[in-house]
Amino acid sequence: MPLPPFIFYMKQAIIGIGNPLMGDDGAGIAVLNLLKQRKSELPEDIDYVEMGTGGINLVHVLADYDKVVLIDAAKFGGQPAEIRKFRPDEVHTLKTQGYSLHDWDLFTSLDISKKMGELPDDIIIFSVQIIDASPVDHMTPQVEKAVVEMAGMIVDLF
Amino acid sequence: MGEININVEHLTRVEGHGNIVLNAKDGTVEFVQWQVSEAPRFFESFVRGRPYNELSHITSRICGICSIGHSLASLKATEAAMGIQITEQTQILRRLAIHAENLQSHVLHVGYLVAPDLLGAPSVVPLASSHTDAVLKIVGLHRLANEFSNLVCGRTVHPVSLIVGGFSHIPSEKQLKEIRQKWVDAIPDVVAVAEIVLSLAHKLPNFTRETEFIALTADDEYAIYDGDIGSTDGGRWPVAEYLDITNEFVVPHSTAKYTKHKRESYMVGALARFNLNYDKMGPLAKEWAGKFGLQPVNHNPFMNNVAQLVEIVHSIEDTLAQIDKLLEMGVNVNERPKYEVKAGRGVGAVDVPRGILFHDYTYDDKGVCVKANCIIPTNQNHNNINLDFQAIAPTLLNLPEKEIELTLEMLVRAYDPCISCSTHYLDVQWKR
Repeated sequence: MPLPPFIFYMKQAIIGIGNPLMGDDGAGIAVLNLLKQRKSELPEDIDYVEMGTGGINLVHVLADYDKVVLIDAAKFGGQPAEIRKFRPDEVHTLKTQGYSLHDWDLFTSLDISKKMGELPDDIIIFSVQIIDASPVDHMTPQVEKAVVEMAGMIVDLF
Repeated sequence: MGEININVEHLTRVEGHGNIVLNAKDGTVEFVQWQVSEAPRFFESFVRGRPYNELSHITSRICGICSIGHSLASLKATEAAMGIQITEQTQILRRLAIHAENLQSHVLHVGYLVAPDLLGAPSVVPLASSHTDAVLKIVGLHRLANEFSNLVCGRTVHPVSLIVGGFSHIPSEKQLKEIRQKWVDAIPDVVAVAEIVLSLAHKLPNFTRETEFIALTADDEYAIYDGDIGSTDGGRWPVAEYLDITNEFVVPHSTAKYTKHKRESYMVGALARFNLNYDKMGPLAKEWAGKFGLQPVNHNPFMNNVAQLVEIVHSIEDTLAQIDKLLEMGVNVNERPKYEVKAGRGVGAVDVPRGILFHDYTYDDKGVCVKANCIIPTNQNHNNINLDFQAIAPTLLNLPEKEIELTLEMLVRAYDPCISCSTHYLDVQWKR
């Protein structure tokens, strides 16, 4: 299989994960969309990647980058709509493999990328504590507010 | 002999999970059940009131793994409802699209879920250290399948270039030649993965329960994209008569509807397709089926894993053949759909990685959907899984509890079920 070409400059991406049809689960995509509108405040060479629910494909996306910012909704026992910025080694995942490819966990993709030697050098995760992830096409007002705040935090990061 | 109480709950997300329950006492199974408690997702209601050209894009969101299959079933239903004819070029490109999805899905299932089971690993992650070369090949093949999907469908997931009546973007001859060569070059990697699975195949439980297999079937090809509904118990029906096959019903222990046809249950998926369409497989795929001793009609559900592997080979063989056909015809990259919007009802069926999938739409004269029905493969398998549980459980009682649990889990995984993949938020705990 062809390997990604050797890269002499740092390739960076902001990656949104989630499903906008499932309430607060869409927070990652909502932040990404806000950042796309604020491109002028961010470095020109950043790629904006919408992963949707295809988390298993993250392995292939990560292979292309040296630095990534991942945005995903989360349950981490925090206050409703609380924002957390962390690195992968700061958490244990509570998800198990389950029965199917549909139960894919972000951290499994990160583990595989690491074993493949394709993990970006720099990974930062932004998460917001979900309040309601049920089949509706809008987030709760608290998470919607947090989405705006997270977008600001990511702009400040660069 | 004492008591055995197994209750495996995979609460990997709130919306959907399957539970395995087994209670046995003094060598007798008192209760065994495969329970599915998945919240309804109302896609059939989402599409009501929406225009015909949005439906394939909405229903593609039913699944993050089978999104191409849902798009194709949706487009076929719309085209059947409005009497829209598609060109030979579109038919071939759609076959390539479904092969791309079959390759994406089967490679992941065999490599990421089945291989860890056979190697006694909890997941694919430790295999990346212990079987690095194999995992590299699996990831490489999946990456190529994604590239193939991207070329034909405009995306790796949730296709954009598949539209009513044809394609909004058509790959060039140069691109088709390049991807063809990549698949030719990938065959040794597929063979290497198949060799590993073959060396472990003796670990697949030798369990047989006779059942009915339902899949698309056709006279001139290994049916995946098109055909009639076929049964290993005999019979062939147009897809428009699908309701006479699926006969959905509800049971107390499952929020998913069950189905049955001639027997108490039936099975769909790679093994069903293999059992019905073996004669039309490519020669290399047949050779590999022979190495595994897989012959139609095989009634061991664990062999669905092997049927998937054999289908990977077939999908590559047929991809090469379909691309050759396109190149011989000459690719018209400017071809665009032509049709009139009409009122009507239509049914579309494709055989996606997990089995036969039906979409059924009714449109008004403005092309607005007034009624929809979708029957997904996994729901057609739940009943069969449950009856397999009842047959296999009494044969396992002498094993340690953990081994019984693993065998039942492997049985469920063999069906490669699609249980809600609608949300993907993280579930984490801080390290102290």
